[in-house]
Amino acid sequence: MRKRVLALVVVAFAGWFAWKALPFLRVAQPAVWETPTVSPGGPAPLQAFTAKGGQHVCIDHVDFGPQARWVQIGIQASRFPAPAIRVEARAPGYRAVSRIPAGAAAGSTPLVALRPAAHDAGDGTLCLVPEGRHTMAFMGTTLGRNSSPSTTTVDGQAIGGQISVTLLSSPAQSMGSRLGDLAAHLAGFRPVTGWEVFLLGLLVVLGAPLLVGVALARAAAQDADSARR
Amino acid sequence: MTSLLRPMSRVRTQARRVPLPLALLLAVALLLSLSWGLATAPLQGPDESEHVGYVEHLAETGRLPSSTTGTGGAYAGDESAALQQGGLLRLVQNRGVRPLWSPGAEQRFRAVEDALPPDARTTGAGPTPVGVNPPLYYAFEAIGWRLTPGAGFFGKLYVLRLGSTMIFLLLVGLTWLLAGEVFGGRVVPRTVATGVVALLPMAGFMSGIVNTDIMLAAWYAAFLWLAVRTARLGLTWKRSALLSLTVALAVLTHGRGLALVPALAVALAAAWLRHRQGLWETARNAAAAAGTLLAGLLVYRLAASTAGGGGALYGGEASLNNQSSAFNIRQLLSSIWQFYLPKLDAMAPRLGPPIGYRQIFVQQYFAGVFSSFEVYFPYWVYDLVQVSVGVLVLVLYSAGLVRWRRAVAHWPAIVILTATAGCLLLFLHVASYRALLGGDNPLIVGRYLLPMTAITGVAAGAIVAALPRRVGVVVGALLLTGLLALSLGALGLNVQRFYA
Repeated sequence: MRKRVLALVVVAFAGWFAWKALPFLRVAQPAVWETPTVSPGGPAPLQAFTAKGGQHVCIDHVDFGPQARWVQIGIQASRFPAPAIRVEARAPGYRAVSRIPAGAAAGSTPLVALRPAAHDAGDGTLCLVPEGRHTMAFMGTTLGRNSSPSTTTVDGQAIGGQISVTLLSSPAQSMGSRLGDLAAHLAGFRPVTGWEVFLLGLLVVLGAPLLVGVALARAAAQDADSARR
Repeated sequence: MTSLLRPMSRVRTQARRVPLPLALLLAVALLLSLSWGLATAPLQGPDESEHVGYVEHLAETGRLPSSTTGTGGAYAGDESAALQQGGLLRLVQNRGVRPLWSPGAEQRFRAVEDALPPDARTTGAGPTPVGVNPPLYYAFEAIGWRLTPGAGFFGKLYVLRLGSTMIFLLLVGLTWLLAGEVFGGRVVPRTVATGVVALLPMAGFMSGIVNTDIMLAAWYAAFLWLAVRTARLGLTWKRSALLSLTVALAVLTHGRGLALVPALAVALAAAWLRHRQGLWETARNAAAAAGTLLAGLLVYRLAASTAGGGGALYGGEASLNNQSSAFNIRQLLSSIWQFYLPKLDAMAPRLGPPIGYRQIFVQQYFAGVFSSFEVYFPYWVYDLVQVSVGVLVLVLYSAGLVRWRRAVAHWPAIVILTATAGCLLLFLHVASYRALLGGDNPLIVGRYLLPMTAITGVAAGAIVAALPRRVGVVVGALLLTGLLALSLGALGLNVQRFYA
């Protein structure tokens, strides 16, 4: 009885894990490295910020590092398809330039690869420079409760809002292949290490079903003993 | 040296006395609670930033923040910095934003924290919406805050969340004791009852954040255990006083603790009816209960007098004077009916948003909605949970009909458990109705049902107890495995939302 109860719990849990948890861990999704500013959504209302050709639209306090490999921005409606946009990343000991080709449609969120820094480059700046003559608009949000630690400037002048920028490690990567990174993220701003978080996760997934199974099996055995007596 | 070792060996002996199933379930509860504390980004639990602000103000100044007055707002300087420069305020309910986690961002925040003026931690005097809450939970958490002097804001926040974890373990332990009173020597129903509490996703989630609800749930469980025990063993002045003490502690934790006052009357009446005592003994026991409640009231008055803003604790849930002219008992009953059942033709539409049993019980309590309501399961999960709960309630009802003789023998426990659940639900419905008379906020969410968690556990244990032994074990195993799967699934969704 005792072994059968334990086996039932473990098999039922393993069945759920294979049926739902494994596919969940295998689904490819954008791997976010950092959201220096807020994307519209939920309580953050959309606001468009216009910039003329050649103007530098920049955000500060961006952490570049080996995993900051992609930049995603949002294009807002304008009279013409968006011009090409130069993306400049700068940090102490690091500089990278990329280019979003002209023609991005209004409402799109183009993604551009960025040469990653060899090591954590620390506090950096990311600038978007529309090429050509036309005015274009970037997707952004208002300040207030959506305010970010990063400040948005146009040619060095702070604007009353923020353009939306997300840095990705990969446009599509499964959570299962990033468990180490996730543990490190969870440990950020906390008095624990990524390894300790990883160990806790392992204990929960492997240990909890066993502990529940043993508890129930032991209880069943005790009840069976009492019934025999 | 031997004097030092003696208490240690006493602790070891006591630890050995903890039954193995309980010890294992406590270990599972601890693992899950620690995981919830990590998987939920800082200050992202419901109203967590306000609760932390209350704790910090109490810990740093020894005074309660006000709900109505003050110029400092709800947060002290370091918490404001965490919300603004730490980027946590923009995170609330926006699934597209992630918390900062890089070492560089952490260093920058430390520099901000170091640059704060010396009195930055004392500025959150109010007004704050949680200023209406009584101080017990916050006083408990303030100890943790004071005991971590060297840590920065985030280190202290981590310790506060560990405080909620400790209360969760107490809740699990108390459910074990309550289930022991209800099921006697039967260990499987007792294990299932305790396991349901340890594995319920909402209980785990609330134990991983800073919020009064987890402590309120623990006091409800303590009350239920002592009430059922008192009904079994008989009233004494000590038991009456202890029982009233749990009510006083609940009332000093949150306004929803007031729902225990009528439940206390029912519990005392059930114990009296069961054992029928003489006049002198009855008077002595009643005096002990009343004296303890009065002492609790005195503490409440003292606490209220140290709070600014008119010295009034408790919010819209408890104050009975507002909107009293618009109160209509027919409308209230119709509102309660429509919460659980389809509207009848003769009824006017229910006030407020279209919420009911499905949203509050199924989605927000049995299965769960996490973070600040933006992390939730796919809808098929809620459908499955709704059907499962419906089937289990049907089994419980049928078992009660089939084994009515056994149920009648346990009448005091059944009366106490149902009366406590009923008082809480009625309290919530009346509070919600009154809130809707004056505005759009229905003032009822799933986590408000957390005090019912021990009762939910015992109900699950009762189903297992009512079934044939082998079938009961299988149902119990599937139930606990299902809840564990729900908990781990919810943890995965939370990690995905904040850290992927």
